[in-house]
Amino acid sequence: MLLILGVLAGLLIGMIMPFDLPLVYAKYVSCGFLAALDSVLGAIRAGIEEKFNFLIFVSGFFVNAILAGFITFLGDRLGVDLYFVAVITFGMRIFENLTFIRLDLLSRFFKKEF
Amino acid sequence: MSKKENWQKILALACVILGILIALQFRTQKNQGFPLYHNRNDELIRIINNLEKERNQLQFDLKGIRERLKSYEENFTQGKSLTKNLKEEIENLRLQTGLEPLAGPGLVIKLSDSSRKPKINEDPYFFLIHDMDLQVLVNELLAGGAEVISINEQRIINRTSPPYEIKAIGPSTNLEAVLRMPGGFLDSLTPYILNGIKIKIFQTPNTVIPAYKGSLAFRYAKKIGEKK
Repeated sequence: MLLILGVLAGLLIGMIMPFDLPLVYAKYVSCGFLAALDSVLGAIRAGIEEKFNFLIFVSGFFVNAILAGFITFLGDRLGVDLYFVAVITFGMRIFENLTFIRLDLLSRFFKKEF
Repeated sequence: MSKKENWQKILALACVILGILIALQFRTQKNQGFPLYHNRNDELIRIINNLEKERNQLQFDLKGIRERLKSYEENFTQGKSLTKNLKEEIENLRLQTGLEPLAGPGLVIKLSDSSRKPKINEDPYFFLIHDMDLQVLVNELLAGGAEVISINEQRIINRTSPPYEIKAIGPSTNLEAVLRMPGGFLDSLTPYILNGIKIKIFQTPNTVIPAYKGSLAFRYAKKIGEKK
C-alpha cells in the first residue's frame, strides 16, 4: 500500500515539476528509471525473503543507476548503443523479481506452495 | 513485524523517486513528438498577415497609379507640359533602380569564415561561407520584406570575399525573425556554426545602403524587334 502511495506521490511531483528535461538526457533518465525499478523490485523480493538490508538496497539503488548512466554515456562516446546492455540486464532482472513476487503472492493467496 | 514496516517505508521513498523518473520521462517523450509543429502555426499566421498587408499596399498603390494616369491624361488634354510630372517620376525611379544611396530601419548581418583549421576527419566545406549561403540569405531577406539589400557595401552584386556584411532595409524585427525561424537560414547553417563560422545580426534603426555602382547597360540582352 505504502509503495503504491509512494509511486503516486512521485508521479505527482514529476508532473508539477516546473522544468522539462532536455531531450539529450531522455536516454539517461530511462536507464535510471530501469535501474530504480530493478532495485525496488529486488528490495521487495528481499523483503519477502526477509533478507532485506538497508545498506545493500541504498547502495544498489544509487550505484546501479549511476553505472547505467555511465554505460550509456560510454556508448554514446564510442558510437555503440551500450545502453541496451543496461536495458536488457535490468529488464531481465525485473522479470525475474516480478516472477518471484507473483509466485509469493499466489502462494499467500491460495495458502500453498508453488 | 516492525522490521517489515521499516523496509516498506524505505522502499516507499525509493518509489517516490521512481515515480518522478516515470513522470519526467513521460513528459520528455510527449514533447518529443513534433518539435516544429507548434512553431509552424505561428509562422503560417504571420505569413498570412504579411500577405494581407502586402495586398492592401498593392491595392493602395494601384489607386495612386490610376490617379496619376488620370492627371497625365488631364494635363495632356489641357496641353500643359509634362515636365514637372516627369521630373518627379525620374526622381522616384532613381531610388527604385538603386542609383541613390538609401537609409532606413533594417538589419546588418556579419558572416565570417571559421578561424579554426578543419581536422582531418572534418569537411572543409563546412568551414567556409559559400555563394549559396549568401544567395539563400538574400532570398530570405527579400521574402521577409527587405526593400534594399547590400553585401559588403555593394548593392546586391557578386564577387566579394569574407567576411561578408549584408545590409537590408526593411522591417527589422520581422527580418530577424525570418532568419531565425525553425528551418530557416540560421538553422540551415547549424553545421557551419558548430565548426566556428561566426554570424552576427544587428537590428539597426538607420541602415545606410550605398547606390549601385555597376553599369546599367546590358551586354547580352537586346530589345525585341531591334536588329543589330
